[in-house]
Amino acid sequence: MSPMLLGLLINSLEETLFMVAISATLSSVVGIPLGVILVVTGPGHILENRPLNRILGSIVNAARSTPFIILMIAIIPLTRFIVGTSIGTQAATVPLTIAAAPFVARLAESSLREVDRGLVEAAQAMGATPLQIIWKILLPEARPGIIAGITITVVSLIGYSAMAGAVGGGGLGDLGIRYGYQRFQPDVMAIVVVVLIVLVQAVQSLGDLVARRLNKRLIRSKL
Amino acid sequence: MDATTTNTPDPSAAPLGGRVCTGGAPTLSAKDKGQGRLMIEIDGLTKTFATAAGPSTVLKDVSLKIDPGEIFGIIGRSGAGKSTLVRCMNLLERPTAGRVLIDGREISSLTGADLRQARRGIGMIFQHFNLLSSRTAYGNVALPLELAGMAKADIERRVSPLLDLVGLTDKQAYYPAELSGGQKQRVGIARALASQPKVLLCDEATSALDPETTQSILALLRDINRKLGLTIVLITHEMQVIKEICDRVAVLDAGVVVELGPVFDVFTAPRAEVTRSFVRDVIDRPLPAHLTQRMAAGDTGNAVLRIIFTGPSAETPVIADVIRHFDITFNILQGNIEYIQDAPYGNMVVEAIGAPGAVADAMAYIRSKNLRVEVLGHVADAARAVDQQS
Repeated sequence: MSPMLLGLLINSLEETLFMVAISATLSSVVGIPLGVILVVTGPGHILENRPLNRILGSIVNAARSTPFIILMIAIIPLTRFIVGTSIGTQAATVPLTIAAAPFVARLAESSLREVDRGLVEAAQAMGATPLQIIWKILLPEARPGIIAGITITVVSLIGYSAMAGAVGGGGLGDLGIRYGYQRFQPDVMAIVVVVLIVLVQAVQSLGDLVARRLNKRLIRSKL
Repeated sequence: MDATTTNTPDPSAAPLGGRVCTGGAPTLSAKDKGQGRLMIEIDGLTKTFATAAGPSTVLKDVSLKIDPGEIFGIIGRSGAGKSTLVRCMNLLERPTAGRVLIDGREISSLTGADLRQARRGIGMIFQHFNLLSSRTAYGNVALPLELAGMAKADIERRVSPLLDLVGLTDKQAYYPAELSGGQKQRVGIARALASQPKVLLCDEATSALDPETTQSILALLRDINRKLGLTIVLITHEMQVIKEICDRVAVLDAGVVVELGPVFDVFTAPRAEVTRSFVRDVIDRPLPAHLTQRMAAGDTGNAVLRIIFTGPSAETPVIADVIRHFDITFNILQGNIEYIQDAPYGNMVVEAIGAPGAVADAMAYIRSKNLRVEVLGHVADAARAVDQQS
């Protein structure tokens, strides 16, 4: 591999990591609270609010049903407003975040919903406020599931980020398309795919490890 | 005086029929500590749930008065409304009508911060323990104190003695998944006691445990009741649990309190059909099938008697007296003595061997000694043949 190609590869990897890290962080910051709200405003839960629950649910569904490539183009004005430009790696993080946040919200929601209602009741019987129930009961108990959800999100974001080339975002996927496909260099394509496979594998393993460590429902070996 | 023996009927009173029935007249004078104050008062409680099939009333005008330091049992079949009743006591369910007073304070009218504050004075334990899987035993016990905003050092001072009280000091760093059912319930009890409540509500607290563990948890609850003077309300579908530790019991059937009184009285002279069926589970063991078949065969032969000894009468040698004074012998077919709240309750089935006149006299004599006796049927001579051989 030529030094130039290696430089391109490292550069693209950095871009991918940057886009995925920023959008994964921001989508978690937005998506987890959204998931909490979706759960606690649900029927019979601690802050039941059907109108709010329905509206948020619809927004999340709408965002999730929009194909990413269309979403990316459609929100260009918003991207320009936030980042100052609609092209480049930084600009790509906006649509990535907006696409991933509802995804995180739904995954967090399902983990939070699995927390035994008995625990919420026990906390209520202890005189816990709704906010305390969220912080001390729901989030800690759902943490292994939420971590697993974020892992899935990161893996999906690595895939989505390949499309960021459409707005000049760069990244590994973009490198593969431009050099491997458009310049007929299948070896570049192959290297890109291998790097992506290794990256996804590493993310998944790390996520599994953290989720397993945090899951106290499994009996630790005492040896 | 020992807390659990205060309910034993006064030996000078008639052992049967002396039931103090509801109305809330305090039956536990020794426990009242002269204050005459109630720890829990439920007044005209009605709870209606809206269901798809229309409103469903699960509690109908329930009134209960529970004294400080009492262990009060509520028993009922599933669906009788007992769980809803106990959940109304800390307002996990809001009553549709009626009032709930805890230690003189009406909590059924409280909302928001006042309700949360009041709930801190009421501990609760659950059938499925409801421990946080993400916290250790120590962390679970500390939770209510964290919720109350207590400082870390103060929490530690409070939690350690509690873990000691429930016998889990060496398990404090274990997660619930690493504990047995009994140990989990001990953590639940320590957690419920952390905020130093005056009342402990137990919602089927032993129903998920095996009989041996149930015994140890009940012993712990009794111990806590004595040590801390805690008022305990215990709901269960197991009469054995009531028999083991309760002072008084209310029997709930279809949302209505059908029977209420000291456990010994309810056990020895149940009046409602549902109570009788509960009592049968525990003390009136069914006769062996071969015996009931022989009894059904005819009206002649030896009389089979059931003799019930209660309270002080169980300690007098009536059977020996009968054999000495009348021309009659007994062949014992079945017998057991239960201790309910430390008072003996004996139940013996015998075949009376003797002339019909002598048997009638013997029964009259037994009744004169304040025992109950009834003729269950008659059996032919097979049993006597065995008796004579031996």
